Amino acid sequence: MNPYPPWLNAGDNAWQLVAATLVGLMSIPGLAILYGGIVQRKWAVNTMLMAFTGFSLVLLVWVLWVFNMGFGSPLKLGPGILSNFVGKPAPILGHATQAQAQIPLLNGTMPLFRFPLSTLAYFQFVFAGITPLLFLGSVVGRINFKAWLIFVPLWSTLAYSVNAFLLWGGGWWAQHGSLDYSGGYVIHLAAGTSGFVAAAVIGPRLARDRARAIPNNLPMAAAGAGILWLGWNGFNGGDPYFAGADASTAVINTNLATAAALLVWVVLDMWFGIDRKPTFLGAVNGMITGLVAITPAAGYINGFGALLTGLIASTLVWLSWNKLSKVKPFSKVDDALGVVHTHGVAGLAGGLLVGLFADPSIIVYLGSGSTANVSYAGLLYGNPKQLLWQAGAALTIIVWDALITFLILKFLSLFMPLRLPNEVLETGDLAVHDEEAYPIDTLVRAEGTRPPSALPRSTTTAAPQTQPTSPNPTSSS
Amino acid sequence: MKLITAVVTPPEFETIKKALDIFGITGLTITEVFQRDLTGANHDQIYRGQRFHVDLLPHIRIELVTANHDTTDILHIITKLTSPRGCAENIWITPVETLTRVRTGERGTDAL
Repeated sequence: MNPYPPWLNAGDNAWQLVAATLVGLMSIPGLAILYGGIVQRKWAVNTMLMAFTGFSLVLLVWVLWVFNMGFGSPLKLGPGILSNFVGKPAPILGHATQAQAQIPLLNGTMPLFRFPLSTLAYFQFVFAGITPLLFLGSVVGRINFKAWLIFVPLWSTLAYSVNAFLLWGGGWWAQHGSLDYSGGYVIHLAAGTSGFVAAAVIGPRLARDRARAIPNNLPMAAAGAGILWLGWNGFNGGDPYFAGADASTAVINTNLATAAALLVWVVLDMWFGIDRKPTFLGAVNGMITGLVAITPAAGYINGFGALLTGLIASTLVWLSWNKLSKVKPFSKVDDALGVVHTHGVAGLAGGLLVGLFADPSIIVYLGSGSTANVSYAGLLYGNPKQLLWQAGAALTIIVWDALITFLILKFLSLFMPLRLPNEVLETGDLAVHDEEAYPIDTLVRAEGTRPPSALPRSTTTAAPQTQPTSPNPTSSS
Repeated sequence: MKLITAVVTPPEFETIKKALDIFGITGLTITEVFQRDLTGANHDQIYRGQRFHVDLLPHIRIELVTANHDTTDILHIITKLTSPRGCAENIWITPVETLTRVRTGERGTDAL
């Protein structure tokens, strides 16, 4: 007996499943606790629950129809871009998922997959799953939980499928040579755009919450941020689909750009920040900026390119965060955690920088015999057209995702309020879920139990009543 | 001199602090406390299917010492900015024997 079909490579399959799991960890618990720790104390439960439910919802629609819309055969909608815009929806629930993976439009442009379709489907799912969780950061603190549960699957179906198909499924922009190594456009530019539009359509948080948007748990945010960084080794390292040399290039480039971007942000805070002081949350912003900016480029550029990508992107996003956010329309929209900057602007910057830094000597797939090595050249290596294709793909993603997000939310608003009522926003988690992040056990009593004073003396515990741990009531009401 | 003690909700505290600031009353001490809710606006929490009853809600206790002739005005400000929630004992006033500013050694109203 043999566990391996002839086309399967155990190393590739093992790496792909590990990489997928690393990316999954970025969502839960990574983003759940990063966002859960950064939001106000009264919104921690709501934020974490939206992260966990969003992740689950995407997997259901993913196997039912979205995977094939992103990576299946094209749906012929019309001429030009419409002929290769999105794939035909179909479920992937049968035994065929054990067969060799393939992306129909990419046959011949890359080596044959050496793992089964289930591996490809799960690997691509964790990317689809994290995207709504990223733009969750724009709408926390006021979105109606029910609206979130409906918005996420609709957005995956109508927006993410198109993003993925155009750039990864062999769609129109992929055919023209637009590059997106791991989702600078498909995921981050999309999340930044959609989050910003959603924040605008849904409306702002309470004025009092915006004025006092203080985090409730920075160590928890640190844990989430760390999981994001190291999880990104799977995010970018898994995207060549093979555990080869390009995966290694992608991993080290990812870390290099991130370290550079983090340090740039800290230094900029120290030189030009409001109080000229280094801040931890600034460092996290810089880290995310570096991770996002290197994402479209990781396995196409060399180490110099990665270093420059980190430096340039972090500077741009720092300016965007601190200066652009003060002018319209950015000042008018309550993008709670600044997703439009750290994901939108960073993803766009990274995507355009690929058009400059893509190095033809960095080999994605080795040629054999008559076929040449697969590699790409940017403007700095004599291919100015690459920058044009990068800009075109970015524009398509921005326009499509903004439009779809707007339409879905306007449609949903016919049936339900998108924003929770003010009196619910005053209380937060307790009003929405009857749970809070840091309940004080000395103040509550289980329904149906008698108060301690009514108990017979022999059954009362000898332990002295402990003082409540210093609660912070100001932020919970 | 009088010690004014008021137990208010956190949102009320913000406006009271601003108002007192406008009238030049800057010195005040606060404590985070829990007050038994008398209005029935208390709530339940549910963890793992078990319902828990909470009737003690977070409040802010404001304490400030003031000269006798200011007492009525300050009381008026706080009362105006406290919503009528049914808690009759929200504000109480107690006489203060003396007050000392440790830094300067000033006593009585000079130390306010």
